[in-house]
Amino acid sequence: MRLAKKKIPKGHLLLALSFMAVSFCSLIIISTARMGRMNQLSQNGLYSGHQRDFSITDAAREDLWQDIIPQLKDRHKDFTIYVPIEDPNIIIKGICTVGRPESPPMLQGTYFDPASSWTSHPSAVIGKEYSQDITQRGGKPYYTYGGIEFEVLGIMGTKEESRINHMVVTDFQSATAITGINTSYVLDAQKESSLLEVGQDLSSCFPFPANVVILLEQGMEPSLLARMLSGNTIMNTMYALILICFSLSTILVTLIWFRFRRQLFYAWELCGYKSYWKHLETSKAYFQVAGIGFAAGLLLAAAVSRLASDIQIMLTDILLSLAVTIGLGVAILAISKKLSSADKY
Amino acid sequence: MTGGQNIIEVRDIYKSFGKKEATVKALQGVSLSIRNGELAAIMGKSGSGKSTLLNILGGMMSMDSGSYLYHGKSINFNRQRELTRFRRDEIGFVVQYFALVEDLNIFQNVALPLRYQGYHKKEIRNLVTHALHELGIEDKAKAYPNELSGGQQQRAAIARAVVKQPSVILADEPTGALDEATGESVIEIFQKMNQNGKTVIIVTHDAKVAGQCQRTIQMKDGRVTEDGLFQMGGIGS
Repeated sequence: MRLAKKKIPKGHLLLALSFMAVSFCSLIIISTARMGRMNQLSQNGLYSGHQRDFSITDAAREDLWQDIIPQLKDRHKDFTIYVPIEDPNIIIKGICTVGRPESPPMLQGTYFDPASSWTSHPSAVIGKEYSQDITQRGGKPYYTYGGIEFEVLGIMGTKEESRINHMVVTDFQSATAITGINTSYVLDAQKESSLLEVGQDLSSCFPFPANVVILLEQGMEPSLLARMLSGNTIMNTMYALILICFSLSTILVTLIWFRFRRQLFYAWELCGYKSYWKHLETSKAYFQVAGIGFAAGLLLAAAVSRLASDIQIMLTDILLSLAVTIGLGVAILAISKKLSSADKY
Repeated sequence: MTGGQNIIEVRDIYKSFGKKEATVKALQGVSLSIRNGELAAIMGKSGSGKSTLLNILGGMMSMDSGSYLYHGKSINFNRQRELTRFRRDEIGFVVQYFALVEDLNIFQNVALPLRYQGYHKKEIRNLVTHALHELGIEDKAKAYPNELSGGQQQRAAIARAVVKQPSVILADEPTGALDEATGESVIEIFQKMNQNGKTVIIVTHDAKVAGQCQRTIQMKDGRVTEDGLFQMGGIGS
């Protein structure tokens, strides 16, 4: 086969098609996993999925959190405390996080991190539905709620309608200034074990007469099989299995590609090529073809996402898929090279 | 053209393939010397060990035991890098089925030994064009191997072998895949190269081809059985 009068080496097309399948599959897995996580996050109101409600009553001092949060931060590295503000017109909550909070999709700016969530400077991340309420002051964007002017750190939201679009998250201290200390909270953590540890510690931190009411019995963790068979996960598991199949078939295709290049390897041997040059030339040719396959897979995924609105591909998906394809490519090339090393000219 | 000093000297070379009962003894104590500027033929039937010997002379294959002196200097077969450099700098290989790369054109095939050698693009173009011109296939530079006749392909393979001006040219059955007339023209090329000072060693089972060389080394069962000078054109004429 020729392209622009140049001969396309045998096996190149087959290899490009294999990588197209691998990259298409990884792109779909990554984008559906991300969208599934976002949907779940939106439905859960930004909570991770294993969280506990708790309430504080009879606290004598309003500034008790100023003593307790630093203690908790010293002892634990994975927790987030939310304080929902009761308002029938808006979903609004304060956040104080240590470690990695569940991060919503951001349209602009950044989300809260441990530093920005525990500060005396009022700040907020607002849903895109409230972006028209932003006012500018001194070149900085502000959002006003309950008489407090919050500096807007970012705007969160999704393309389609979601709860996140209608949500406002503020820093913890501003939120507790509105609600008062004696109110309901949500304790969230990435791991169930961290949640239980922080919960127990929290109960013992508050001095008398404050009372912390939290239910800390172990939640029922779904089994691995149950998790694999649930909703989005079953689709992702299927996509992952398809990706594994394509990766295995790419190993076979790479072996065939090596066979087709035996003439070249023999010519290199006759010409006294150093093994470094041989590896360099082989890798260069291999990744050029893999790159073309990746680009074709990307175009195919873009076409699919235009047809199916529930598949949206973002730049982060593409970069992640590129990393997956490169990683798989390196692994496949190494495995195939080892398998074909006994296969002399 | 026959020269003076030995360029290649091998002593007691042993080489076997396979393991235990399946062992094939390809070379059993081969010793010989090749003088600088010699045109020698290694003859023998299939399985006599002539190609194995040629591969060892060219550093393409290791030996089980024995010694190899090139210009009086020992070649260390245990050091792959040294062997590769020796092959790259000193040897030009020509093989029966040409070993041209199908998806590279003739220019690219001939330029293969020049890559990574620090040559400038222009230098590469000049060297390749010169080699192709010498072998009379300058007009085929852009053609692909499957567009050429067998004789032209072998000329391209020879051009690749000589483009870097190696001291020794090793040819394994260079006329084996060619018709008689084309084969003769290929041998004439080797003779011309020899006249220009190259040491040429040709492996063949064809007495006609061997007859056009100055010296014939006869092999049988992995051993050298005869080693003598031919009168030029002796058998072939």
